[in-house]
Amino acid sequence: MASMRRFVADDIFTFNNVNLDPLTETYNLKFYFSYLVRWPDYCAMAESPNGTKMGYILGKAEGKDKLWHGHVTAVTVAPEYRHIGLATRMMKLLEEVSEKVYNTYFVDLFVRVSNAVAINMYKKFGYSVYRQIRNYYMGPNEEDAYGKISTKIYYTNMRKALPRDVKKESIIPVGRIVEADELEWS
Amino acid sequence: MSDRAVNNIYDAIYNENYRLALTLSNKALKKFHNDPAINAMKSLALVKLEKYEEAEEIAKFVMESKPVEETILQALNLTLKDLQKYDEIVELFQNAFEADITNEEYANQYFMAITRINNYDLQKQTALKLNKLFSNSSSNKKGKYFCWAIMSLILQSRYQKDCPKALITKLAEQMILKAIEKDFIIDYEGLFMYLTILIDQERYKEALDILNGDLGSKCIKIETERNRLNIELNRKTKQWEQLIKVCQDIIENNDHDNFTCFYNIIDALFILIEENVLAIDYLNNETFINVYDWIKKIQEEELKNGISKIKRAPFIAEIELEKKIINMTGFTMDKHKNILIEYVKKFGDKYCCFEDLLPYLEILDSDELINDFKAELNKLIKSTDINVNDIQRNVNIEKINFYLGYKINNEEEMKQYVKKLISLYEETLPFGTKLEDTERQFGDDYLVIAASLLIDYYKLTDKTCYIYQAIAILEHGLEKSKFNFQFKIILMRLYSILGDAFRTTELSRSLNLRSIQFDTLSFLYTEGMDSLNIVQIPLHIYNLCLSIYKSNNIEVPDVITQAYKNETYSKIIEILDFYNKLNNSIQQVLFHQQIIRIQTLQAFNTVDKVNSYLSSVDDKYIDITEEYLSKCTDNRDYKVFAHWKNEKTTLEEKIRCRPLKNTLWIQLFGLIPKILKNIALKNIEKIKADNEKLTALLSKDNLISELLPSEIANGKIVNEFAKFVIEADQSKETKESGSCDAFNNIFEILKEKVDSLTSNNKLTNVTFNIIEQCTTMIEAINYIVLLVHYASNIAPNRKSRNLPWVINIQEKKSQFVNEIKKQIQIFYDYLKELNTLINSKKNTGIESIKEIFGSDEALIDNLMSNNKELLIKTFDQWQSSVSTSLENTLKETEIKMKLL
Ligand SMILES: CC(C)(COP(=O)(O)OP(=O)(O)OC[C@H]1O[C@@H](n2cnc3c(N)ncnc32)[C@H](O)[C@@H]1OP(=O)(O)O)[C@@H](O)C(=O)NCCC(=O)NCCS
Repeated sequence: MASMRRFVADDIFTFNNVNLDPLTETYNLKFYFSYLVRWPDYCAMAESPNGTKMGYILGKAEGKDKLWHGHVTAVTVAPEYRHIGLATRMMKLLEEVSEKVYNTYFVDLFVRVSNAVAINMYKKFGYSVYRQIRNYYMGPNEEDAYGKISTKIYYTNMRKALPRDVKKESIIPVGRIVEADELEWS
Repeated sequence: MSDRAVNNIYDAIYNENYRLALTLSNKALKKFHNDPAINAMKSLALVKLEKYEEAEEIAKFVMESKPVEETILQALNLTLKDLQKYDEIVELFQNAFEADITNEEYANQYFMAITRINNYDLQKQTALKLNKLFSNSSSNKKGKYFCWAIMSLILQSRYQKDCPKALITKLAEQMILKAIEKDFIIDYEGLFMYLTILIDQERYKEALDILNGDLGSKCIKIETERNRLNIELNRKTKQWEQLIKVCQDIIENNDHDNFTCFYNIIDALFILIEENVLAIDYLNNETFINVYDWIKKIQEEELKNGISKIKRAPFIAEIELEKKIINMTGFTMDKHKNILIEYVKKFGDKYCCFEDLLPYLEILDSDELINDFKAELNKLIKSTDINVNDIQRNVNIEKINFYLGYKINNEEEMKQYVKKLISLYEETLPFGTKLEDTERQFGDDYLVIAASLLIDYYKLTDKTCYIYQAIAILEHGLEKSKFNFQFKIILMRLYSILGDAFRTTELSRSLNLRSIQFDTLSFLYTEGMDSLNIVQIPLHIYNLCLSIYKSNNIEVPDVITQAYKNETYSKIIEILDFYNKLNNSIQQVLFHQQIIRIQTLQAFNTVDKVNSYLSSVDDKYIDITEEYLSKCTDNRDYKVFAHWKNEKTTLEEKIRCRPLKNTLWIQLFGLIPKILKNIALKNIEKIKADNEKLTALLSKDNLISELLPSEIANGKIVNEFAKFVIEADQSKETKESGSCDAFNNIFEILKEKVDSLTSNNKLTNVTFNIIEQCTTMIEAINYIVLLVHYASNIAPNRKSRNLPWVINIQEKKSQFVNEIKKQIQIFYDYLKELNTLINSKKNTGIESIKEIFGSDEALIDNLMSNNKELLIKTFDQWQSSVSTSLENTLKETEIKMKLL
């Protein structure tokens, strides 16, 4: 029970009940705005009938040639609105935008290896593990959330092929651990 | 050539080694005298070293040579940006562009520079110029520059005061039609401009037709976006039947959970009913029957899905519909209670069930209905053989009960209830052993309710033991749910009430607030911190928080230029509004004023020092003008607090350590330093003007809604002080007889402060209130020291020292000082005693806790297994924070006694 709409600049003032979650980063203004001004259709907010923010998704399109793909940068749901299918709806929207607006080959995302809830969820949405990444650094308070500085943070890179990738080439697993600086984009 | 030197300096700057960059620049300048590139680098290094004046001077010097080289332009651009000299940036690129009008890059930079200075007319002209000069360039293929001109017009008609709005919008419309003809409008962003132009002229019907016509379907590829615009425009055109149809289509098209559509349908339905038929007759209204049946039909379809997949919106829609009927007819019936019960039966195991029902629980408007409802509701509670879903339902039921109000007759019953809630919580813990660290335990909300009950009793009785107990309960919960932010924010407020800055700060750090949250959430823990006489912690926090406003100034305008480059026009207005809202935030002024307040205290070792500090204070944040007050924004996010009770006063309001600071506060704490500053600078005209404002402010009768009595009293002291200064300067009477009321009035104010403070001498009473009064007492004494110093030097010159009025004032001053000293001594003795008392409680554990709990001792051991340890820990932390505050105040009092 949510209304989905574009993420607008003003939402940044009121998304606190979502962002106070430990797995959700609060980035600097430039971060949000550079998404909004480059990929406005990839950023969506779910709102409850009384205007409470329920969750949002931020994404982008990038890569060259057959690596042209949609990317899920953040997907997050406020604790009180979990388990009612919101993430499902938001991921569907992102896939729709990737397919219809940007015509990409696949959608990909990075998720912390330890975030079992999210990994299982993505599997359910049809994403598969493409490769593991070592030393990938996502945001400013990576360490703080766990109260310790960890130098080796592992991420799982998952992908889902879209219709344009007819032969599903984009999702064939790499089969080894990749260092963050080997990534073709970050 | 200077190239190598410039490169080296550039590298140093790039590596953020600005000192080295400066040294290299100076060295290079000896060799390459006045070289503009080196000077440009030097100005950049200087600005990074915060040597603004020198940086500006050099930058201006370089600009005189009208540079066109890329390196120089970029270095100056960065320097001027940091100096916030946006007009100069325009000039810089205007020169470069005019020197070579074939350079598209400079032309672009020139346009971007203009976007920062709100000169929309120039912006439009420049865009058109670009369009002409570079009509065939590759980046203008889709008419980008032409579209920039259209956007400039849209902005001009919105933001520029006294411009011919209608004319400008018409022009924008002509241009967009031309753009469509040339096939420039191909996506959402282009269409957005067109729709905005029509909407700004209130031509909604046309906008709707465009949206649903060929252009609309070409430009909008995402269904939800079209739907949203469709709904918005159908509402604006008041085509209610059409709106119902559109929304029904959306829902039927595989979107049963779209509550917004249901809401619009029902809203439209009742507007139609009100327009057409008698209220009583709604049951025979065809549209009503259709909609009602249709909602039922959608529900049926959902029910076929199996219980775990049923969408909630069609069911909430029915409740919404009934609520509207009740509003219209005034009748609530059994049926209404039943649909709520049905909803809990279906969706009670979803966490959000309670939030879903919140707007509807008030339809139960009689005690009888509420009691019946509760009875049926409580039958749904399952207590044996339960699973996680049952727990979720039980929690929701408890929250609904809490919302509707418990019948609690006395403290004993309250304690029993709290006890029950805690044991319910404990029972849920075994189900959460497998939860991730980052998740919440299933029963956490029981503890929030328990804490709320205790907080209510604190409000009723003013006994701090209830605060302690609420803290213990929430800290207990936090051990299991390390990241439950609801626990943390309530805790921070409770610690603030006790005056404990240490644990408050620790918790605030653990929330990892950053960026925008400095503006929206810092009020959760900073509101009282300037009154605790703990200097370093708040100064650090305020300065850190201020970084968000700097980011806003530096980062956000750049993003707007990005929006032009990417042609995402819909974001430009949005981000401009965001920028203004953050820039005018009252929180920004609050941080600055709180810093000034604390630094004034800090500077007060000698009169000279404080006067020189005050003289240096920038007027920007203490001169609170009418214009600012009319546009200042409040972005603080009060809604993050749980507000689960059917009461006007929210939980957030109940647990403030002081009244929320707002426009009255910033006026007072602008005027106090401003008047003192002008007294130090002997600027009588300004003192007069501001003291008039202060007098007017102090006579307002709603002061206590934002200000503490101690703060108001201090305002009055400064008011008297300023009067004294003004009179001494010009009143004939004063000059003849040395008459001045200030001494008497100030003495009375101070005495009242001392009396009210020293009547509190028990450990149990020491909370934020007492510490705050001690701190403001020091401030009051500081103002008095300044007054006495001023009075001592009242004689205009050496010769006049023996004039009768001067002597007269000196005599009165001496008497005044004697009396004041006695009061300060009383205050000092009181402080000392209090501090000794608090220090003597160090590590006394349960003894002190017992003292605080007094007759409520039962609460100490009874509620939770580790209650006692948590209480002792809370007390120890409090003890160390409070004694730091008091010791600082003691030290300062000693210094002030010597200064008098
Ligand atoms: C991960 C997250 C976005 C899920 O949001 P959500 O709206 O609750 O997810 P949905 O209701 O759409 O659930 C989709 C599926 O994911 C799985 N899932 C979601 N949460 C789960 C949990 N806590 N445990 C197990 N499975 C879970 C389920 O299979 C679910 O399908 P089902 O309901 O049909 O069984 C949310 O928990 C969250 O915001 N977490 C914090 C931020 C985060 O980790 N983001 C991901 C970073 S990459």
